[in-house]
Amino acid sequence: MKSQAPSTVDIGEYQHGFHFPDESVFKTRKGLDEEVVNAISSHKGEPEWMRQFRLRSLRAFQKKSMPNWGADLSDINFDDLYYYAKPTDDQKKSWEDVPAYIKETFERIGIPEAERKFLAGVGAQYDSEMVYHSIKEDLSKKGVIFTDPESAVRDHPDLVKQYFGTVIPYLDNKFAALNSAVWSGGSFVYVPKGVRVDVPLQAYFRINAKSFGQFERTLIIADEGSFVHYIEGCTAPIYATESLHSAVVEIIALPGSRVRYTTIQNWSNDVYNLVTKRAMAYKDATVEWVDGNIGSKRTMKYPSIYLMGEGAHGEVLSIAFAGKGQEQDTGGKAVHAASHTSSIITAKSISKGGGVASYRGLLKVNEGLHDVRSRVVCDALILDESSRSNTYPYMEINSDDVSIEHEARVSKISEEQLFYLQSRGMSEQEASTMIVNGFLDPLVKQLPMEYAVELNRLIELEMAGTVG
Amino acid sequence: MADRKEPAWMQELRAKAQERFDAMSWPTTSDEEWRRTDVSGIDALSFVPAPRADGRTAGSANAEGLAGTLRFDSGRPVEAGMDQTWKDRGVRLMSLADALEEFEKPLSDIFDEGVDASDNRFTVWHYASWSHGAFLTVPAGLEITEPFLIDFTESGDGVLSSPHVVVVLGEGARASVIQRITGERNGSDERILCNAGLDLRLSDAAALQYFEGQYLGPQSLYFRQARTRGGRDSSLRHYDAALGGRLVKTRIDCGLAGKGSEAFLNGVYYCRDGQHMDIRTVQRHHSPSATSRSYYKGAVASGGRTVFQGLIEVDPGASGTDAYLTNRNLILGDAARSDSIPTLRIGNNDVRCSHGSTTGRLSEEELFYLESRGLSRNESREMLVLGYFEDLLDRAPEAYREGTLDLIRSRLASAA
Amino acid sequence: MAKLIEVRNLQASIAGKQILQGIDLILREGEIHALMGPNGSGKSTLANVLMGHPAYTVTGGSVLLDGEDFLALKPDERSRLGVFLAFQYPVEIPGVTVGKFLKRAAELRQGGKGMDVTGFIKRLRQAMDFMEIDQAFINRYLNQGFSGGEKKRMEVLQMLILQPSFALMDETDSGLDIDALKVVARGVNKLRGEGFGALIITHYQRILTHIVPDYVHIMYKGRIATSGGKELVETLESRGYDWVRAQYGIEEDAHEVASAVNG
Repeated sequence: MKSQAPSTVDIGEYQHGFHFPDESVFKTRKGLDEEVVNAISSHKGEPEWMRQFRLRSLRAFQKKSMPNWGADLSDINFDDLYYYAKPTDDQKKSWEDVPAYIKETFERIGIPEAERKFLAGVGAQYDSEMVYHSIKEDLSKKGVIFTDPESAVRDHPDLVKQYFGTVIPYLDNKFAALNSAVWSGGSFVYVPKGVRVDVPLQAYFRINAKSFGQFERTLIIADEGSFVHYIEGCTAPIYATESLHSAVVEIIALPGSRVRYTTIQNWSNDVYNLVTKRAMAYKDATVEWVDGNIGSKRTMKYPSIYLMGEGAHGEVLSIAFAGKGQEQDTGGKAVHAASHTSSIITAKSISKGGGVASYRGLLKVNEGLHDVRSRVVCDALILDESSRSNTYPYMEINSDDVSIEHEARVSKISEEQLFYLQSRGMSEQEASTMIVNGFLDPLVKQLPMEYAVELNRLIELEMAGTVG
Repeated sequence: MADRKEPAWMQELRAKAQERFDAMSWPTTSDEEWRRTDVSGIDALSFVPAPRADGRTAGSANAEGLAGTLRFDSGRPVEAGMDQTWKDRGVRLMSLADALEEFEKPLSDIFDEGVDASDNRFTVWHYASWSHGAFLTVPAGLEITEPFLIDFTESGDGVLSSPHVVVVLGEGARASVIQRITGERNGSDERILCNAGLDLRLSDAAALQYFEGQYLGPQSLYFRQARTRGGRDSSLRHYDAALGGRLVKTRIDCGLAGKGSEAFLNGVYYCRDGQHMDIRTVQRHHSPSATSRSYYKGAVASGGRTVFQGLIEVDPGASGTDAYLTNRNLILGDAARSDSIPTLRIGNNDVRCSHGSTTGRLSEEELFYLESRGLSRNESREMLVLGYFEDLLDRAPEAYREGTLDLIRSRLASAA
Repeated sequence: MAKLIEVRNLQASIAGKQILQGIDLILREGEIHALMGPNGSGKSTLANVLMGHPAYTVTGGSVLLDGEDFLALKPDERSRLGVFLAFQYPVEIPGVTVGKFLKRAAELRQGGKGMDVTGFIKRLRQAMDFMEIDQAFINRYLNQGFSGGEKKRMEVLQMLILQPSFALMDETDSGLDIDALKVVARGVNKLRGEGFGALIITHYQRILTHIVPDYVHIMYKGRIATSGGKELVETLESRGYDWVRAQYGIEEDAHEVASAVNG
């Protein structure tokens, strides 16, 4: 999907720092233990096998230690968070049925407009439940399932049992275990053989209750020869106490399929955003992660692709913007477990106002493979003296018939470029913004137009220093 | 373990290091820098130091074309000589044991720093038990074109050898050094644990070229920690050839501490079946307008494993930094493993820093081209592999370059 | 009334080295001035200092635009007053397309908001045809991968779009073949008129046969050695820089002679 150069006219107002008085219907108490997990499972009316899965995950979470690398997570107090809140009684099927105050929220962030604009379906999250979810008729007819994971557990248990937790087992890391115990909301997508979903599937999330954690769980299964593009855009209001967002996204791309997963994350700067995202790409399948991280206090996110079958291809396009008080610890992983596979990781980061942007990536090639190609390019811009950039790439190559390239560059905005644009009438700030947008352009071009525009606006606000 | 003839400051230093040694345990694969090199199977303390050198230098001789020579055999100095001109002008190349008293000032600072900065048990062990070594000092303003030669021949199965070399250059001094560690005299089954240290200190405007070669036997173990520091407008060119040893774990930590200083770190490593090489370079930019390059090329044959870890670290005050790190790995057979971890930690924005790493095998087109001109497959491989290393070595002294390439050539032949 | 730039005893240095030793010059809208001189005389420095390049330090003298202190202004403020610098080595701005950049620059030229986009695009396409630049360049990243000739024509294209009051052209002719040179001259001549003044900096005389100047200045070692009318160009052409030196009693340096002779 090609996008034109965005026509930036006004910077305009872009404030998502608002919230409504908390009208949540059901909320578990603060803190996390078996009682809370059981309450969540009962409230969702889950079958026993899922409840047991949650309990096993809880035990793993309690045993595992925090990661000793990456962003600084020492401020998280697990006992001081709410892990579950449900705003209305049941799932609504159409726009008219949604409660007024929730509609207003969506109106303000533009969802009705989006709904008019050729989108296949919108799942909107309000305090961790899918409040509104509708699927367009033709998708239903094609057999595409796009629903929330709770409904999937109830209506498609076989699919769930077959794939849920197979890409990211609950034992994988502490936060995967946490999510596996208290997950709520997210998306479940199944695309049948040979079906192309031409219009992107989207979902919006919001954190509203104070000190609330977000634990959505997304599972996408693309059956043989299918295609789907899933877009996730996040925004959150500003709060004084910490918020924790610990999501899990699993993608299974069966032979010949293609999945593109796009995220623009703009959590407010009190949020800890710790996400485990992993895809399995089978024979001749392609998975593309497009990952934009603008907000949050701390983000740790490394979209991964395991190339499991011959002919598989994986791409990670990562953009990170770290402003004052922020740490973006992001990157990507490609693990080649089959011959004739290729991967490209392109990461661009900007640090400003004391922010820290770190690239962390893994490129691994297993033994005994042939014809494996990979290229990793990391470009970092540090805009001022107080900001930092780190690059930690790991390459573990265990086969000889490979071609592996890795490059990283760190620099600041060149004085010559600034002067050139200023000599054409742009103020220093406008010139810097234009150069920064230009720096990101090759990646931003890959986004659907509304997101490209949104991203450019966010960058402009960050550059002007009015956000966070 | 301290020699009764050593000055008090060294005895205290060894004691301090020993205390730290006793309080630490051997590195494990949970330690980031040791993640890919498992030393748990090594019974390090079973290696026994060679009989202590008596400090007296035997045989005075200096070869043609060299500014000075110092040779050790199993830790004993056996040959020392210097061009009289340099001697008269204050240049000293001597056994480290002999230098401890006269050169207490630079040496005690250097050793103190070394102990304090040690972050693993092997390095601390080195400071507690270093057994022999060389000290070279070149006074300010002297420019010496011929190289100095420092030669360590190690031997003895089960021997622990802990050599340390210190080179100090005065303001504006220029010199070059070839340093070798060899250990294949008594056959390839000999196991030596060589735990070496190297310190290079360049005053303002000094220039040093240092060519290191490690040619131990295939069953030996080699640990080496090098620390360098350069003042304003100083220039360091360091070359490292790693060819021997069953297990090699080295680090060179290079500090650019003066405005306009530069450091070029070059390395070649050839790792064959049964070898494991873990090599680390660190470029630390403390001051503005300094330039550094790390350029390491390795080849790993089937059954070998190499790990290259490189770090460029730029302090907030180091504006105008120009730093680059390149690592190339040539894989010569299946069942070869190569890890490359080039990292950047940048705290200043007015910099030009990049790194690049490539891993691959010999180009089929190039091999075919040479074969079509009558070369056998093996000859073609040899030509391409030597050509791969040559560009890095082409500015090195002939003896060093040819010696290294010859060894690589013989390894290629035996691997074929 | 025609706008006026008055340069009085301007001195400037870069990295501690003094380049401009005291320049006196008056530029008026409607006048084309040529500035010539051997390499290293400070011609480029003058253009960059007038535009406000941060690497240069003004160490003395003044510059007024219609009586107001010009040196106190930032480069973008100077630009918005109608001063344009055509760079000798235009820098690449990756990720920023020619179209997006020009649109914004044009908008700023007329106050910063609410430009008629359709009208702009039409003007842009016409100007591109006039400068023999392929329309495809609208979507190319600014100056990235452009040949020398393309970069110079792009600079002049910007002049046609932005319609500056004063254009400082820093060796726009260097590295161009005769055809490209003619296209560049054509662009400049199209702007010629009451509301346009230019300072054409050149080392060669070629371009001045296509853009005939009203005034010619010869610069040497940071000063203007002599000024005259267009006949000075012919004098220089027939007698060379040596004659200038002799005429004005300036000591020669061997390397300057060589470079002047070799052009």
